[in-house]
Amino acid sequence: MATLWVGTRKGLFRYDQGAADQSHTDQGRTWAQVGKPAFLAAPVTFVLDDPRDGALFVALSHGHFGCKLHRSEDRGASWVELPAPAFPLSDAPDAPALELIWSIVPGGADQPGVLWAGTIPGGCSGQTTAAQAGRSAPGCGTGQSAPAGWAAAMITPAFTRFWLIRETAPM
Amino acid sequence: MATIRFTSHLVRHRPAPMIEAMGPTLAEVLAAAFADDPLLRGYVLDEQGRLRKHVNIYLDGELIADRLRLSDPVAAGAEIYVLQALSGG
Repeated sequence: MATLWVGTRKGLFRYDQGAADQSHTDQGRTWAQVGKPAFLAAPVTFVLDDPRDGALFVALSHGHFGCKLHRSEDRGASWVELPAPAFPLSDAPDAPALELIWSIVPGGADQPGVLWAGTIPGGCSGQTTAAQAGRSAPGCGTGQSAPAGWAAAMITPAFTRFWLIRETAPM
Repeated sequence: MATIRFTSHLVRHRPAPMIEAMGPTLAEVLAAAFADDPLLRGYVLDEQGRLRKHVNIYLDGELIADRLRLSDPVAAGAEIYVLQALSGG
């Protein structure tokens, strides 16, 4: 059964293709919304259905409270907030801060647990733990505290537009 | 001990009970308040520690003066309210 995740300015909606039609010849008429929307009324700027393990990632842009990143390991039944990407701490009054996550893609075959994200402002990143220091990308900083197994990476401004998040422990 | 309260709008996104914390300035009080939930900090401040553009903080009834460094002094027993700013048209 196929599932379609729809991110909107008013939340995340799930559509499943009905079991009644397996031939895919009804022009989508058997797609039906399933369950209640998640993040109701919050602008969803990106949804990733990670093909590696079925985890879902949602980027939000709250009008007042900034950009957030959430992850679900149970196909949207429950969500855990992850630390959002963060630019390096600076004393400059105009130091960059995350404004938007506009894309998230899985890392390559040699990057298990890595996500790459397009952000505004642009930045390049690295992951955080000593155990992975030998594999970290160049120019990487240290991260914030995170839910078990995850760590946010800091962003090096003006390098590329990508940021990543990597699993720090087996899930 | 200062008391910090958040709006129900923020609590929709992140549990934010009334918090009591101590410190000579707002920056230090907030740091103590967010110690138990670092993610809550990100709803009020950006990663540089500046007050978010569309968030306001009232300290004993007055809008705080220093949104960049949160250096406003906090008296013992102060009441702090974290509100979303009403703006736009």
